[in-house]
Amino acid sequence: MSQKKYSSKGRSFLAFLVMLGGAVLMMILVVSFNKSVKEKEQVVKKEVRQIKSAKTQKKASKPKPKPKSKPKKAQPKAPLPNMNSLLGGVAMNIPEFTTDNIAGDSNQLLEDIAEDAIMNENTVDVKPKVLSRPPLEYPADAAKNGIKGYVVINLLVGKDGSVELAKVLESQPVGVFDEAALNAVRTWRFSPAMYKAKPVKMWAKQKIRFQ
Amino acid sequence: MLALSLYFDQFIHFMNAGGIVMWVLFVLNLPLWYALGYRYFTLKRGTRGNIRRLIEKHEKRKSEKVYVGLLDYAIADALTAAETAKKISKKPREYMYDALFPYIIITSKYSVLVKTIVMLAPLIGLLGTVGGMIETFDALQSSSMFAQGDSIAGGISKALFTTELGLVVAVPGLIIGKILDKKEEQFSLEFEQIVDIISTKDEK
Repeated sequence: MSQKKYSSKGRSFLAFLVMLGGAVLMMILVVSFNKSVKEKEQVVKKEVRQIKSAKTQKKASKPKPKPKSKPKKAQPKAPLPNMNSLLGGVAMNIPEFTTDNIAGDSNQLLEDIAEDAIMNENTVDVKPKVLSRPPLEYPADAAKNGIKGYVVINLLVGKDGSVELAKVLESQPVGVFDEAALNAVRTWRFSPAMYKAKPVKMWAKQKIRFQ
Repeated sequence: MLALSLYFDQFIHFMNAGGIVMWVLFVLNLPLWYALGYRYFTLKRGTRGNIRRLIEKHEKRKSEKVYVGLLDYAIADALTAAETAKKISKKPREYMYDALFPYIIITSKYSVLVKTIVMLAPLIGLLGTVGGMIETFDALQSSSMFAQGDSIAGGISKALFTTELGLVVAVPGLIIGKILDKKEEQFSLEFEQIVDIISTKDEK
């Protein structure tokens, strides 16, 4: 073992010098930081005091009356629309009562309306009844695959009890039974809906199940 | 000289104004810089040559070689360890690891201390801030209306100053410490390389 040995004597001395350097660095930083802070504070304080005295008075006097002059009146809520009575009209985009044509004696009004207006379940006196209902044709494809579902149809039952219009509102699964349901429904016969003992047209909703 | 003493007096004044936490941070600063200095001077590579060349030089010149840095000593020790292992016909690798172990210890000396102080300094600064705020609110409670502004501003500036000092301690420690950690990693890789090169040479 004729090797030179590794020693760390000088190292700790140098490290000590670095430590002193670190201490001096910190002293310089502490003094320099604080100096700048003090100078800034003195200047800022004087300015702020002047501005504050002017501003706070204005601010204190102004904003207070403003909120007093704004008492909010509670607006009456709009009445909720009666969705049931509108449903037939909404579905077909046909207005139920054509108010533009209304004029003259108010006693005559309802009878005039009754002649032409299309009504729905809620406005009618006597609801239409089914007279004849031919059997449904179950679609062949659906029958093969064993698909079940339903179709909700909006019917316009005319004054003579025939189905004037039919439209699919909702179907599950979509599109499979629509044709079959519409074809079937058009052949149905009803006893017409009555309003004040007169037959009227009426929108009726009908759900048809395919099982 | 007079200006220097004035500067020192100012420093003492500010430190006392910040409270006892300032002195704790100052004391923490000393071992941090000592450790950083020690690590810096320890982790000097000395030579720029790569390990393979250094080992060749050592084998050629033997004891005539001038030792420049830590790596030279490490290579010399590893070579002697390999020779002794050969003489008693044992595997040189483990003997070399034993020989290099002190150098690994030296390169990692004080690294945990540096990390701890870097972590600790901002936390202690925060502690000082919280203490300063508590004092501020105490003063606010007992003071009259007109004295409030001064007591609040002064107290808060004092309180924040401790956090600032904590960061001042931590940030250089963090940066330099990370650089030195990188160097230490380099050294440990090079020790591995020494062992590999010498042991594979003997097998051939």
